[in-house]
Amino acid sequence: MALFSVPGIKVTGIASAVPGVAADNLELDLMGKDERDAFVKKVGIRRRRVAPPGVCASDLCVAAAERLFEETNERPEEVGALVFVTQTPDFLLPGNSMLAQRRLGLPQSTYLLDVNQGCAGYVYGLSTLSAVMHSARVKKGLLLVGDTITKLISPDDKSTLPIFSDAGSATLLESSTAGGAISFNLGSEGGGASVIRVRDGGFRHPFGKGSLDAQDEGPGIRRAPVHLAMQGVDVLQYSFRHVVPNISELLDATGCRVEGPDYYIFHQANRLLNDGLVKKLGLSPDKAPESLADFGNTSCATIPVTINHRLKDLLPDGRYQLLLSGFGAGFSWGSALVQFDSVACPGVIELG
Amino acid sequence: MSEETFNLQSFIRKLERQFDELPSESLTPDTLFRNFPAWTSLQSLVVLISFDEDYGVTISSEELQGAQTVGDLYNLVKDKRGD
Repeated sequence: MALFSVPGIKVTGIASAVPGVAADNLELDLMGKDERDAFVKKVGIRRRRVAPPGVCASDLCVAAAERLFEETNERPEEVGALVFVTQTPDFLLPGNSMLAQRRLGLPQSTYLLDVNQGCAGYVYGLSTLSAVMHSARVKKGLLLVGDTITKLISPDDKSTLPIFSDAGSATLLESSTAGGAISFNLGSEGGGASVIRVRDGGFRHPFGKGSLDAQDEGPGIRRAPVHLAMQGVDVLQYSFRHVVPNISELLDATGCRVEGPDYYIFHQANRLLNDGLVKKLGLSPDKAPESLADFGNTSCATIPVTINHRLKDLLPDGRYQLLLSGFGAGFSWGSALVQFDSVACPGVIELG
Repeated sequence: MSEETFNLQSFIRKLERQFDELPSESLTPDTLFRNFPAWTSLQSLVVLISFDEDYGVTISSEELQGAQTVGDLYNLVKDKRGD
């Protein structure tokens, strides 16, 4: 059962990197002015980051990791485990973890793992790395989580283009008796697999002649089978169905009240959905910082981006309990209760 | 959840409030809501969230697709409430 705690894990530092190129939703051609304004107001996304050709999730994550090593004075040679979470790897194979091992100069003995997860990915990755570190008695672990999801988006799809954005992150963990336990609660409903999906290019529907043929799927929604297709209504309903019960279950299991965590870091999906979750939990909005307006939906990296964007002035100097909640492709969801004690946390890094 | 009486009239008034700048009494039970220019996929999410918040009901994308009029939406919510 995916409701468990891993003892003795400390977060040393967290860093996020985004491409320097920003797109402004108020300048989007896909919609008329009124619709654009309504979108920015209700969905809450003003700016998105777009990685240029030749920049991959691995580049964003490696940049974040290099900065993190500098900030924490930790050395790559001491990393014993690496988990890389992405849905936009450099290659179909080998996985990004191997590319990162070389680029960062990690030891050959590093336990490497690649995880294909979307917006629940940071929590899944954190749980996986923590569990590996605990089982394999690894002293220091590195979690890389990022996507260049904009490269999967149809330029003629108003249901996805204004939403998605690119980012990569790095988190350093240390096994330490000074570290508390991290508690996790993960879940999934595979019946929701088509709710967020790229249909062609795998092996069920190999890339072929029809893969690039754009279809009209609704007003303002024109995309091909190689593009990311997201069913907005279903994402809303799956999220509302699972996220809050999952968090409540974790809080109960850890004996923590809803008021306990200092901050709730939700995956940044859209303001309507996120405000709905905050209301359902009865949270004060200032307990749920956002990065939607400035960075959009950066797929699996929204949780670290939000932390680096909003908590950079707090985390390095204090002790905070954070409830992390991710949900998305799968349909998967997961929450984690984590102690952040003097955690290195630079502001979001802009590349190039 | 609202303590207000749940009936067609109160449902329609609440629905009108989910639209920006819609004069009240614009919607009738026979209004084909999809023909409204204000009915975008974004607006459909706003309305579905309001159904969840005001009535505690979840409408799936298939159920929504089957509805054509405001009256159909009322019936969907009414059925889900178990009234």
